[in-house]
Amino acid sequence: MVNHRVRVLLLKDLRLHGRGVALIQAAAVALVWVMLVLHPSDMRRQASLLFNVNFLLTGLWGEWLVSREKTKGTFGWLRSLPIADRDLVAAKFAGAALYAVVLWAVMSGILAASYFMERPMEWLLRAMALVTFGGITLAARWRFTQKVGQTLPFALVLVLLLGVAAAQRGGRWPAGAVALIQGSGGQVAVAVGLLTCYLFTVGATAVWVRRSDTSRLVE
Amino acid sequence: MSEVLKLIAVERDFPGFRFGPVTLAFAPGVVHGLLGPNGAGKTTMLNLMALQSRPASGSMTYGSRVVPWADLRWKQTLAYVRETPAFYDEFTVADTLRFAGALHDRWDLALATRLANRFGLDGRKSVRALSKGTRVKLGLVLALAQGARLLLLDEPTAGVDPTSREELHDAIKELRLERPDLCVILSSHLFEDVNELADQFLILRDGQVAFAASRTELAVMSLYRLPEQAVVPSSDDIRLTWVSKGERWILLPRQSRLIATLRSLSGCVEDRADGLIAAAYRGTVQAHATGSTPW
Repeated sequence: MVNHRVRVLLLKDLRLHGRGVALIQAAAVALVWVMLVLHPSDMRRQASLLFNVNFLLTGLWGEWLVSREKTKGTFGWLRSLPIADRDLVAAKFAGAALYAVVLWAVMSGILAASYFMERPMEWLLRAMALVTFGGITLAARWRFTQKVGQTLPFALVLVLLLGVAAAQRGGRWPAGAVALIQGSGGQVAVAVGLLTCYLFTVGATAVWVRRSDTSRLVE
Repeated sequence: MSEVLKLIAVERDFPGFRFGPVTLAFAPGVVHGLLGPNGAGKTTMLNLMALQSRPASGSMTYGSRVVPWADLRWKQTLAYVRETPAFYDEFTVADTLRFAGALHDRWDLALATRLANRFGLDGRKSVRALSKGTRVKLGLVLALAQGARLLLLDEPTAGVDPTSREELHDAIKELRLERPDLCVILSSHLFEDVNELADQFLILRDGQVAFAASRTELAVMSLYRLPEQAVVPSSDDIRLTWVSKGERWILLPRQSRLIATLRSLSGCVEDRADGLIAAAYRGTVQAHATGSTPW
């Protein structure tokens, strides 16, 4: 259940960012569609392209939702209104998750019939990965300065990817690891991992905001 | 309830600055003028009262109730208008009133509309287009419409032109007529603002309360200036003494027997008590008021 104040804050963010988000979403959908038509490739590559575009845009939404409030000082006004810190945090994370899921649902519709209809779990995992990344982006921007906050989420992903690549090259990556992850048990494990990471990010941000002076929430 | 808010030994440390310990009480229906130079701790004190900063020690009470950190009931009770109020630029004035109204339990839309009209706020105008003075007026409308019992105003006239300053003075006076029980704490580094509006004077210096007195109390006091080297007998009557530009200033009740002694000292000049605040504000307070705090 979304409480009244969270709903008011969500609608406020939709009012502030909705038009920009919709325009960029429309442009991204059109761009991806044109690319897929002009350069048809195998379905897995197309799915990866869709995901990567969503990945970048999801990071952008998370950044938008916090940057504006920090730089314009409106977090200070919100903090003086009767809004619980947990509601403030919940509204931001809910907004970021909503944008990520809507964008993914719209864009993955391009490949729904030919690819994702047969792989619902993969669709769900990719959606969860986007929501988690959006949450991390939001939390990092909230917690840190502009440069650090914008760079950190991508740096984390880069470290993760480099770690996997190094393990593969060094032969430490078990031969059947990819198949294991793609199996139903592995997918559930990935889902649990993503969910844990997301919940930890939300929880840590909520604790940090509650303990912080308002001056730390604005720039 | 005799006080809206009481601060009890409230302290907060920052790098290079320590606020408090400060113990003060704020009564309803009174405008408390908070004076002090930049860095004296005025905004820190307002931030602590508005739960924007967390005290390191001490407590705040509202009636008999201790106000905990992030208390929503307290946030329903107070309104905080910052030096430059940060509303959403993309909203109109009417949107801002609606948004704030949706978050307060006791929102009075009719009052908000009436006050907005009285202060000349056009509901269709974008917040982005509002001057600083008009933003403060919008903050005042929000404060009253939410039914606040305590209004914190942080340097509302800083950086506004003289005409807007007068308009803000008038707006604050109108708020008092509208809500006689409203407690206002007005911070300013301009003596003229506080002198125009305040019933109680509070001077902060280096994070400490250097002086506190009511306008009524000042009216029955006398202020004397002597050479800094003058030897003044100690007395419980002395409410405040400080040194500024080679002169020693002494504030004491008009009935004090010490006055005769002071007058006999070479170079003694009697000053008007209402000049005290300006003088104390500009001078270096070396000793705090003796006896109990006047309020």
